Amino acid sequence: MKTRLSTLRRLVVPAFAAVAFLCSAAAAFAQAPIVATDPWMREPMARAEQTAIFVVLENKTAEKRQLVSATSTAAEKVELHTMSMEGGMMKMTQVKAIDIPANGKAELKPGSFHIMFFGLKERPGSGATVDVTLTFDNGQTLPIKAVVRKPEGMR
Amino acid sequence: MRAASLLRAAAGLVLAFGLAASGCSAPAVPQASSLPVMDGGGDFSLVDHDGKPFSLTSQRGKAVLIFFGYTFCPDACPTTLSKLSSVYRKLGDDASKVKTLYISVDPERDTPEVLKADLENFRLDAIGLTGTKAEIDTVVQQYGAAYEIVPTPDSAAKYTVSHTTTLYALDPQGRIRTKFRYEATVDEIVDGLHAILSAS
Repeated sequence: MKTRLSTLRRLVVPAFAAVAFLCSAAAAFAQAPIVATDPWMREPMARAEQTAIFVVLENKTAEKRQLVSATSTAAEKVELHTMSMEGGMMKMTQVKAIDIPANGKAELKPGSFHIMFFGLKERPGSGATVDVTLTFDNGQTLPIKAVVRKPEGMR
Repeated sequence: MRAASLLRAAAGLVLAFGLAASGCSAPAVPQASSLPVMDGGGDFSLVDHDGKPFSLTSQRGKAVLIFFGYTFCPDACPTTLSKLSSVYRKLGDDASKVKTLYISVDPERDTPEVLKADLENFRLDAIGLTGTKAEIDTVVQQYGAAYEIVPTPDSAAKYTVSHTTTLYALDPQGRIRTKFRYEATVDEIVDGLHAILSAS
């Protein structure tokens, strides 16, 4: 009897665990509706203490999301910025949030929205990766690894 | 293949004539004759990235590219420098006949040393120029450029500088022959420079 019970337990417990795992995986998937593609950092110029990070953020849900902050241990301060052409002038502006439309995407790219690193604590070279954590308006966080790239023509 | 390229060339000509006729200044492939001397610009004196006096007159005999920017600029300026590096690579033999002048509109942060360090990141024949605010303002006005210092107390940048991104192309006599918009492609700039050099 005892053996049968333990056999049962041996079968049931893993089954429960599997179900629990699948549920949590599903929950995690439901909570991670933002997919980050091709995160990269512009290789900081010699002596420069700031640089920009770019990434494409895809919103897999039917609800609008906003990127509200980014953090990294690699910089003293991380901010969200955008570049825009206004009255013939290129303007750099700090923004509070970057919209990611429902079932759409936000492209953080040169000449547009980007994540700014100020006070770089290290100088990662081309090919290195830098950890950045993105936070969205629903509290969800998303860790990304930005690959350092050398802009064309850079020594 | 040949017919297609002929067709493309014909289409390009039609487009160029159309644009010229409509008074649109969008540069098609520039021919020497299509680059009249433009108003504005002229000689100026500033300080170069070695801290030495610089005068535009020292560049006679070379085509000169001028743009205004600042090294703290995280995006537009590195993008322009990257693009100009590609321009130099594509210029071939003409590369030695072209000098780029990067005039800072942020003399507070852009000391000659900072400008030099910034330009050393890129493969192009460029001189970083700075000066007093009054000296820089004079050149900005001469070339019809503009900039605005924008305080950003909430940002670690402290302030940013909004600025025009026009790239001015001068002939070997120091006269503006064409202006490129920020969006101009490497090929457009290379073609423009070849045209300027072949005209002189």
